[in-house]
Amino acid sequence: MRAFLAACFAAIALAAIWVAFLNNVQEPAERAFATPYARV
Amino acid sequence: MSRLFARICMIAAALGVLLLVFGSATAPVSAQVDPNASAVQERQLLDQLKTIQGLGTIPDTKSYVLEHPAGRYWEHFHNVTLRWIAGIAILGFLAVIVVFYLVRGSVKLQSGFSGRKIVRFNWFERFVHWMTAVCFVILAISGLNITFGRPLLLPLVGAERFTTWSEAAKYAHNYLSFPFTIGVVLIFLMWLAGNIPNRTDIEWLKEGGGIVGDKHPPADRFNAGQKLVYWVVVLGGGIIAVTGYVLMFPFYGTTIDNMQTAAMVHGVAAACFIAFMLGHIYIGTIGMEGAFESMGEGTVDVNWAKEHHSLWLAREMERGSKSAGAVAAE
Repeated sequence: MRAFLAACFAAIALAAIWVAFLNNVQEPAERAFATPYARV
Repeated sequence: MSRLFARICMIAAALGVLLLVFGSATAPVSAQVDPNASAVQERQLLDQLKTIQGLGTIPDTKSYVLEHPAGRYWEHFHNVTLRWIAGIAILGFLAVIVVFYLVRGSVKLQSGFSGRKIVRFNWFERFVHWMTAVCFVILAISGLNITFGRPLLLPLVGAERFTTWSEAAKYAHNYLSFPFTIGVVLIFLMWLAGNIPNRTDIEWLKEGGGIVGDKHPPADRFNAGQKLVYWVVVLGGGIIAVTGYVLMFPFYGTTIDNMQTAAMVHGVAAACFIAFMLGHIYIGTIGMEGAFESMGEGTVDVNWAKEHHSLWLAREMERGSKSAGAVAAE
């Protein structure tokens, strides 16, 4: 049982690490391709 | 003379007018114009061009693509073909398991439980197995929602609930991919030595593996069936992980074509993986008496080991493992 519970916690912890990594690497398209200036 | 000349001029002018009138009347009428005759048909355009794109000014150059004809084939695969493949694989395999259980029943321990235990899987092995298994279940359910959610679930729960559920499921699918991949890699490293096929497996299969018939052919720590599960997990899980990461990082060195291929491979591999795992779950729970304990508590009854993994038990006994006949692993 302890192994199972530890496995569940580890899965959540590793998923949280992946969340942090993805948020750092990727960004929404409207922000990724936005330009800082206006085109006229 | 002048009157004659004037008459000649008048006749000539009249003839000229007549020529003009009749000449234009008999000129060939321009043919009816068929506006579609020289136009490019849509199918011709789609078949000949890889992409239909123009020019744009925004930084995202991918947005210049107006049509990606191959996307229609992918859309058909995703909405029609994959649903058939996954449906037949999963429901078909489930039906086979149900029939097998009804006909064969679960594999009972013929010699009965002795009460003496031996450690089969240590804490770390069980930890890795359950981390991978829990992630697999959530990934499978969230993945099946991507394939079947819209036609099967949406009509039942409505748009609002389906949207909320699908959004959460997709986040779970993306984020749990990491611990699942870690689990598959650890399983590969942990159990590689015991899952190399050998001659014992051939003999085991010839005698029905103990599940077809009542024989108990000798087997090492992992029998041929378990080795098959191992390699399906490692290879299938690997393929699913790689194609999944291709999709999770779009345009990282890939094109739309690459990602469409990855999506198709990911879907088919996942459907077959889920179907196969149903068999593993069956045999590890209700399919074989005493089997679940090996991964639930880490120990098995000595009689169980003798009937199903006699070669492994003999080696453990010979090694004089301190866990032989000892307490449970935890």
